[in-house]
Amino acid sequence: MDWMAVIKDGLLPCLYSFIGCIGYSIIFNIQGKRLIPVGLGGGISWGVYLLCSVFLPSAASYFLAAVALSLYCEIMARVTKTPVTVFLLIALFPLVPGGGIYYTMEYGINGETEMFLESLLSTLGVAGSLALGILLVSSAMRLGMKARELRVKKKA
Amino acid sequence: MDYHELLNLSADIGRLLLQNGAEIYRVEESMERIFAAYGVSGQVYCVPTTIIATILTPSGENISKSVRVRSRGTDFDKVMAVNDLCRRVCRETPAFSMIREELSQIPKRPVYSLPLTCLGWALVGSTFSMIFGGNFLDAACAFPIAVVVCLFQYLLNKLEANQFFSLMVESCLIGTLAIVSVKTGLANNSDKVIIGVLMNLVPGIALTNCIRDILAGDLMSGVSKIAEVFLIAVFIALGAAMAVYGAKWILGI
Repeated sequence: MDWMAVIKDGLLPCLYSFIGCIGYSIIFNIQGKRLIPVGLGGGISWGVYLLCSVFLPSAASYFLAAVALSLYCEIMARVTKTPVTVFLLIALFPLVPGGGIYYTMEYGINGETEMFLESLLSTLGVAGSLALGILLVSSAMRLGMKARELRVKKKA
Repeated sequence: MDYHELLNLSADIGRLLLQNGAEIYRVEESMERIFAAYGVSGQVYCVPTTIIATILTPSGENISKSVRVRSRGTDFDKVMAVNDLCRRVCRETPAFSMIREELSQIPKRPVYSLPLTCLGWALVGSTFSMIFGGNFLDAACAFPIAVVVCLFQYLLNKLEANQFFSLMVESCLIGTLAIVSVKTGLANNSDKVIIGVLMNLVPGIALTNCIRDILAGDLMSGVSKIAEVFLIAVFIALGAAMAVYGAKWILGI
């Protein structure tokens, strides 16, 4: 295995994603000690995406990245006593298909209808798989919380 | 107990949450919990632009209040502060004057200064241009472009420009600057620079929020936010298209 390639194509993008998410935290006014966990979330989401995209098609990788990220956010939210959304909203940014929007537009201008449609559909697909990933984890978390609540009530 | 003041206080809490980008269910739940903590039954209906709350006092009187929220932004520090306050209110049910006092402190909480916000934009722009496959030159160009666009957005916000219009103009500015920087040989890939800086404008917050709203069963808000996401994406694409198209046909690049 070529370790230089792993560092260049795998670890450095995660680091960029980490720094980028800290940038977002500044824009959306997250103060102090929460900056680092939020940035880490960004690094994790992009890292999982890159890792999965080696083996899987892009929609599946985005889905798995969203699942991993949601899990991380649910855990960190409980550790730092912060609403989940704060983590999720920012750390999801690396996965938001900004490139997809741009290339769709470019194909549209150039009149490459086939590429335009393909790019549009894959952009929508990415948004859909992100939605699905988040939905799955937070529904499961809600179920778990409810189950615990019922058990505590039964005991009391 | 002064039920009018209870309603006013919880409406102010809801308004602060909604204005600073909390999800719909958080607004509704927070307000309903406050009512419950003070032993009053209340109903809250919230959409991204309005809150309607009604409480039924023990004497059988209905009191209702509606709040119109016109400007919305994203400020997580304030959302967290209001959330903490709300939890404390529900736990300790303090006197109304104390809640009012703490509530008036929340808009004064610190925000990052303009230079730091510019730095945030620049970090996002340059790192994402590298994530999308640009090289260090592209990132180095994305940095100042993001700063310029951030200052431009600050100006447009001061002038209270329409959200979609300002997104389009900013996106066009990004495209133009990126193409100019490639034309003058400062950067190599105009598309990487554009996408990187564009990541500051993409509707990531609205996208995630609309998913969570739909998930929580707030269909009205969820659907209206999907419309917002699409509109933002279309206007960003339009703005960038104006720059790319203009470069192609005017300069012949």
